[in-house]
Amino acid sequence: MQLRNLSSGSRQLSLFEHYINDIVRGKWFIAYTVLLFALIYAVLMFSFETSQAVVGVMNLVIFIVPAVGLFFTSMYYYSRREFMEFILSQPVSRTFVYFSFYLAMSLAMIFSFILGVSVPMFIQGFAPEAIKMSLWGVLLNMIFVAISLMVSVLADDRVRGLGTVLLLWFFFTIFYDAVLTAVIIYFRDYPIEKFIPFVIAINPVDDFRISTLLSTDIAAMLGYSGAVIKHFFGRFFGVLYVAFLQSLWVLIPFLVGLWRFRKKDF
Amino acid sequence: MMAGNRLPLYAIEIRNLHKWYGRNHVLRGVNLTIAHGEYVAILGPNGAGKTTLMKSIIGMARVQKGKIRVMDADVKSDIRKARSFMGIVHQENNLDIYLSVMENLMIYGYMLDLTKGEARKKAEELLEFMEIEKHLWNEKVENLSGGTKRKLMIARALLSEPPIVIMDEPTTGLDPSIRRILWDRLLSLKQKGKTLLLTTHYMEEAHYLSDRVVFMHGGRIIEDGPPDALIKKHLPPYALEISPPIEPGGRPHIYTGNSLIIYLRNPSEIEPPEGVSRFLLRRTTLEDAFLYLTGSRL
Ligand SMILES: Nc1ncnc2c1ncn2[C@@H]1O[C@H](COP(=O)(O)OP(=O)(O)OP(=O)(O)O)[C@@H](O)[C@H]1O
Ligand SMILES: [Mg+2]
Repeated sequence: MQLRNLSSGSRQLSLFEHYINDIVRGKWFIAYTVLLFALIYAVLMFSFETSQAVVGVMNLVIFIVPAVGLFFTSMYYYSRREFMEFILSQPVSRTFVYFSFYLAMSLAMIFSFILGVSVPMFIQGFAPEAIKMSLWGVLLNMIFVAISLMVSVLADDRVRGLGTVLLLWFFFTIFYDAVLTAVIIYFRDYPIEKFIPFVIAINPVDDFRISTLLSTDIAAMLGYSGAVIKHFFGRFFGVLYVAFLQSLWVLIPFLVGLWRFRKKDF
Repeated sequence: MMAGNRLPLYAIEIRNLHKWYGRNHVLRGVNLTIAHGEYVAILGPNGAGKTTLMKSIIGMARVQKGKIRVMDADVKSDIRKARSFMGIVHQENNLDIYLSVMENLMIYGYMLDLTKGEARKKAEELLEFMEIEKHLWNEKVENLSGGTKRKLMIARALLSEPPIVIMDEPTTGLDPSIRRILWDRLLSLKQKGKTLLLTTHYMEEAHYLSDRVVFMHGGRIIEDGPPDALIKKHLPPYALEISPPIEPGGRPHIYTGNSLIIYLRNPSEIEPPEGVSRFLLRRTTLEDAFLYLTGSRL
């Protein structure tokens, strides 16, 4: 028997299928989806108006989704690294293996986001908001899977990789906002709003917050940086600008990880 | 693949290979050629560079200098083609431990573009060939013994029917009876014309399986030849282990801990002196030759 068609479509599909099957069948994946659904559903039960519902869901999402995306991706990567080494020693391209892994992980996370966040919003009668939230949720998931995959590829040591991922989560969801608020208060007499469009580019979690609030037009909760963005670009271009930043947050970690993955020694 | 039935000169050809991990110069100019159908064992102490050499051949470690050809494919420029000639058993277990025995082979079969039916048939053949009992076929890999995992890794390496099989320490950590079974299986592959390159720490295994052994030490190949010829080339046929050490009297010898091994042409050259705690006469082995050449344990 000869090895047929080294780059034929079906073989490539099977690796992707293998990953997605493996992830979706996992206990943690099912547990996460159920838990997310229950939490979001609970928040929505106690929300009496749209803005309250969106903000409640958004805050939960900001807290949970980056953490889960970061941790699950790294844990999964490290737990399957040996098997991946075997795959890489086969006549398949490394780019393709990396891409399959990324795509499977992202799709799995997006799938649980839709089941756990969008579906309860629909059920509770927030359909337009659910659609917008899902779109931004897709990006949010893709961002943190990409960041985590990049870190895992760069850090051969599992403990160092998971530690880095924990620090990043802390930085994006807690530390960055605290520092930003402090800076804004401290420099309130200076024209700092000029720098806001650049400053928010540093934090994909903020991008998610601003894009969600801008697109659902809940201005009251936009906060300082959101308000500045809206003032600068207007609502429509503000949303576009933030979406652009988020796409960079997917693309850059994805490409850095890919670059390293292609030339590293296994 | 190849034009007609003409085979390239060598199954594997390695020229002046150098590999650095950071500042660590791990392969220092390795030259090695392996003929079609030849069984070659690489022997060497921990850290000699055996795994690195294997990983270079399969293109998993990028080498900075030198050339590797596998059949008619250059590993640097045509790695996919080169890999399509090789079945690989890595030193570490890299099965998917969350899948069953059968699933591990099936997944790989799909990667090779086999249909479900073909993959299943092939998998069953190989599981039988490797003597993995039927009741284990649907068992999860994480519940298998070390020996069965190893058999499964070999089965998987054979699934694509590669002409060349590469194995990094295939029997390390296995009990003697499983090791015997594996040897038997590997020798029966020889009848099918396969080429085998393996590493091992067991000189007995190297002697039993291979046409040629290669000694590696400090990133270099220090000896290369058929096992018996290699022993003969460096040492006389008898080894006398004696403790406490005596004066070797100009004969080839090595010190190991507080005993001495002296190599003799003639089994009765030395009479047991008084007051020795150990006096053991035996045949000279590959391990002796290696110890003599390097002063290191395998
Ligand atoms: N991925 C890596 N990164 C950095 N250094 C490495 C890596 N792999 C191996 N080395 C180093 O290369 C040298 C040779 O290692 P290698 O694994 O090839 O030895 P080996 O002969 O296979 O040993 P063993 O018998 O223990 O398997 C060692 O000094 C090791 O520390
Ligand atoms: Mg090794």
